Amino acid sequence: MSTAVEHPPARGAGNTGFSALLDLVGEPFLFASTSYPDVLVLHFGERRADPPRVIKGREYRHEYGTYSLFVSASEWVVKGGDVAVTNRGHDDTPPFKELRAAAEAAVGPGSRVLAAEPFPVDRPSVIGYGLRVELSNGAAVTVVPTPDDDPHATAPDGIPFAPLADWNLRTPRIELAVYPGRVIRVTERGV
Amino acid sequence: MSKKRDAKQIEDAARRYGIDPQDFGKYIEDCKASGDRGTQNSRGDFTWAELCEKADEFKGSK
Repeated sequence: MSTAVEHPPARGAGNTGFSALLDLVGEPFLFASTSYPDVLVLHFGERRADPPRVIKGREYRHEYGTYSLFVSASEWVVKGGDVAVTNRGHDDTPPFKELRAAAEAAVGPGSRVLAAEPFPVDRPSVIGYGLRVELSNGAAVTVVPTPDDDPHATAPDGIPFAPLADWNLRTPRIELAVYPGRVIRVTERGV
Repeated sequence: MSKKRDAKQIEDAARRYGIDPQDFGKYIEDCKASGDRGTQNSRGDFTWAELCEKADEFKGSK
């Protein structure tokens, strides 16, 4: 990664930091994965795999799409056909991996992104940007920022944790991170 | 502990060890799935110290 551009409170959803969302349009959905803790990752584009690694005697493989959408601790809803899948109110029953599988099926591998549009969210406890992704098979993914119930949390050594992005989009050329308060961070990635 | 706090811990531990937070989160998920679980709770979530240990082993494998 080379440079980062901070966009302080945006003027609106047309903020240029969101131009990367256009890159996602036309890309096929590949699969969904999970990242700790209960982060939904939707992979689009072309499938890639890092070389296998052996860590503590166990083989570790990492596959991903050239475009990846990470939803960290925000609410998401996936609608496809007659099915709606959401993490709203999820309390580990069913296990998150089952939600992931249901979300993947609802989005539909092979369907292509028709639109990826941010939308402002302005509630008493949440000011930020949501995201709606529409797919060619009629499916849609909606991400809605949620309140941070522990905004001043610190590590055991007393150093405050950095703010957590509501969602991130990683593309071959940039990483777009959207934070509470409508702060947008665009980081160029080394290719 | 909230999921957001857990997610912040992942990102912070990754940054301190100079590794990509998203890749590190994937690795921790992989550890849990293979039975290498944390002790924070019955779900096998990881404490801060355990995450730092994991970050060290993940970085060391590169």
